[in-house]
Amino acid sequence: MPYKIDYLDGEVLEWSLTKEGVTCEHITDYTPSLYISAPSHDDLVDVRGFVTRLTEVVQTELEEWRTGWRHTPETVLRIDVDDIADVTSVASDLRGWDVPGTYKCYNVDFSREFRYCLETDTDPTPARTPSTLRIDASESELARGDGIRSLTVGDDSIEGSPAAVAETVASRVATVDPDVLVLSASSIVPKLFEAAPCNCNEYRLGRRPGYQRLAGQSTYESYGNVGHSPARYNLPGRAIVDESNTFLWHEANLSGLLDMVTRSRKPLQEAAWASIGNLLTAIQICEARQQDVLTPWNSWRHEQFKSANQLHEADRGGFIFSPDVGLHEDVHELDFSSLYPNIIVTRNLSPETVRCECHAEREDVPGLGYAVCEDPGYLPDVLRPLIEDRDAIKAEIRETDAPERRHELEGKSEAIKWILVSCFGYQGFSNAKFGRIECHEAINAYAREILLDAKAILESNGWRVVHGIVDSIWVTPMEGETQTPLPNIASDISERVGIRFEYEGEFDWVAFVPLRTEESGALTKYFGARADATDGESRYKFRGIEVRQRSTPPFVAETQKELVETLDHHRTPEAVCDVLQRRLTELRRSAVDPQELVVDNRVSKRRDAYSRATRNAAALERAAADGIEKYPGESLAYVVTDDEKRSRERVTLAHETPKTYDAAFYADLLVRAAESVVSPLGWRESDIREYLSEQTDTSLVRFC
Amino acid sequence: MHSTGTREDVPELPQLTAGVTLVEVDEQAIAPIQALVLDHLLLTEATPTARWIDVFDHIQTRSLSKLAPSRPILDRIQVARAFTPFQHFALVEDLAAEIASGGETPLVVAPALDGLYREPDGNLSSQQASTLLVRAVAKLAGIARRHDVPVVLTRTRDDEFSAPIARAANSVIEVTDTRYGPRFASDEFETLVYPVGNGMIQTTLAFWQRVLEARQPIHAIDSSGHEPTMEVAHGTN
Repeated sequence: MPYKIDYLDGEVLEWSLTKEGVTCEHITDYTPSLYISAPSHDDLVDVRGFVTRLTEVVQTELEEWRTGWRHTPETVLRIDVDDIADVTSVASDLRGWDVPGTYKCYNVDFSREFRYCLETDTDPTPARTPSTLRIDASESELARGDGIRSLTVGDDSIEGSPAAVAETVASRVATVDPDVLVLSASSIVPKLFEAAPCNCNEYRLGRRPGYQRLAGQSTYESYGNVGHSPARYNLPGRAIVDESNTFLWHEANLSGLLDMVTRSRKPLQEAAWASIGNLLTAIQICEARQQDVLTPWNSWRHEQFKSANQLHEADRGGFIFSPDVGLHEDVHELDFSSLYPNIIVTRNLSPETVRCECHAEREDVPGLGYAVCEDPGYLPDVLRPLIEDRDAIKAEIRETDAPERRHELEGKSEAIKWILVSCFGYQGFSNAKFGRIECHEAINAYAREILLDAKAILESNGWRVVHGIVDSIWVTPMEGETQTPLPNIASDISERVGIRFEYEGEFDWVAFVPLRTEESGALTKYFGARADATDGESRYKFRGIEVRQRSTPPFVAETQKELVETLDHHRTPEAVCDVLQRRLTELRRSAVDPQELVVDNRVSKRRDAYSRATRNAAALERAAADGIEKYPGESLAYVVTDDEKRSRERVTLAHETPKTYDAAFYADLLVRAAESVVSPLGWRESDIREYLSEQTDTSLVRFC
Repeated sequence: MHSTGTREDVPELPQLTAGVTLVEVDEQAIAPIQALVLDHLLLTEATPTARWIDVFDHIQTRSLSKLAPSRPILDRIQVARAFTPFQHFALVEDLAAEIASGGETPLVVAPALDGLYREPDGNLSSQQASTLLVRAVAKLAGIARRHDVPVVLTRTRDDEFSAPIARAANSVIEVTDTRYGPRFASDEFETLVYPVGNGMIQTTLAFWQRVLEARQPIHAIDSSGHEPTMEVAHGTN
């Protein structure tokens, strides 16, 4: 089974791992295929005449395929093209061939290796665990105009002229002969080739000389977040994992990645750079292919008309109870296990089952009255094995004592978790290949109903709901009522709903944080102390507050943890502020290591798009002066050295080893972090400042 | 194009007539369009329903439901949202086919008609996107012409790309904010809707709520089966 597919000199190379090493098979007769449908057979014959004249096209064939999940098979035209690069250009030509929408194209925008595996029915799971070698070059080295002078390969540091570095790296790679190169950034590849002492065509980091650039860098927007995707490169015979452009490698591990290779049929290199949505799409494309369904290039299928009232109802989004702001003692958390995927599976929700034409009269979905088809949908079929496999993996994790096996299982479990977490959002994502907004709305509507039912049952059994969001509910005993034990209620609810409702744990207390400027609660900001924390488990749980935000400097995060501990022991805002006072004094005496004050921010727009002099703008300018160009979505680490300044002197970049910092700026951050901790007790920033100034006065008096 | 009103203290709104009406609104404000649509529905028979082809969440059901004098009226607005130019085009096409096969509608609304075609995805060239828009406009104009239906359009920008929308329009209503209230102006008609001197901003929901509330006497008369007592043919000019 090949683990890496290369398109090289008009051939496909299949690289397979064996016990001893690796084998390479040359495939000379592979031609990628796309498909086209037309309103009538005559139109297809027409377009076939045109298509066969295109030089890129090697063969055409009329075949029977389904153009949608619920469609009966129809005759479509299969078009085989000479080169993988011709697929999109031919499709683009054909789309403009008549009135838009007359000729629809299918199986167009697949990634290269995935397409090969799909069309040749190849499972790209490697036959053994691939070996890896890591190459790490710092940002400043990559920014040098004249080439890399210092990097590490595996555990070894390599330094010298760019040509010497390139030569040493190549010889190390040749000796180790890894199956996978893990790169801190993929731009290491062209940098080394440029610096290589020999001809670019002879230099090799792969198992054949040379390299290919697969895609240019780009900035994209997804779910409202701006991301940056760096250029992608390919080395024949080895897979690249670009650490600056991989989700699964970070969130799971190699085992998780390999698990997804098997499920998605995306070979290792492509699975590593794929987003979760991308993997989910691949899994669905595989399922579609099994059922003779083609994958549409453009999403022509629109939602059906619904009344403004229905839309208003459907638009309400996920389930949320307003949190009861404050510190609550004796709190218990209960969660529905994988709520959204389980709703999809148990309620048969799928893009083709919601508002199906065959059962138009049914009103299944609560509040919306949409029909849900009785015939099984494909989405439940896709998700069911994921849910079941993850349950089995989690059960094995609980059983196993072997640390290696545990690590492997945890990687797999994490990878599947991410697919399950995203499958719901993906349905509402406008441009998703197989997504559908009505399916998204239906899932939400069921979730709301399920949570409201659970709340009612809990209340009638003596429990007060203090907060609930998405799939979790927090309860505390109702005063003057007898409580039915929670495990009993949980199993009762599980049975009624058909989805496991699990007792998550007990907290000595949980504090729900209000919004900074209002009395009402911030929906996802809370912290609490677990009553049942076992050894090695943290007693505290934090959500949404500064310590969980990636931009928060370590010193501020650590201080906030300390403040929460103080609150745990003393339960008074005064005690918390006393600790805050000590940390502020340290800060003002310049006793804090500047590295502990690094702000790690994500760039949201390009340097020239900043119209206001913000800290990020100053840091970008500073990086640019150093030759480092940052793109939206990339991270930017700096220490604020003088917040009064508007120039690039305002900040120092983390890699410049800052020596000083702006104490007043960080003092403000500390006070804000403290406000999150004491605001559940009713103290706001002004109360903190008032208390601090009183304390300063008394301590001054004491010293006088 | 004419306006309806009964008395001095009842605000006037332009009445939508068959044909394509392009409403040019400042800053993409949607409240004036929503008010026109609700007003039109309140003035027409209780059945069939208006069709709204939405993009970029212009429908804003939250504000629409606040603006509507009652919830049942919202059942008379049927919405479908498009997220890609392909979906938008397919929606327009399917709606045209449905109306051609006997589906009745008192009104078709397509706000920001050019919006999705301006940001094509899936390797659609700008030439292909422009062709798609022109065909969508032609389909909508066809609905208006063949079935005597008012079709209300807005566009995101006044430029060459959106020019086909303006060319297809039988009438253009410009909505501008003035110190004396919003002004609706077309070739045949100009009116100040509701001069409020208390500084209430005319694009706000509250303003349009007041307008629709104040028009209730005509709506009430109309829905009771009587003709409006008077049609003001020339507004305040």
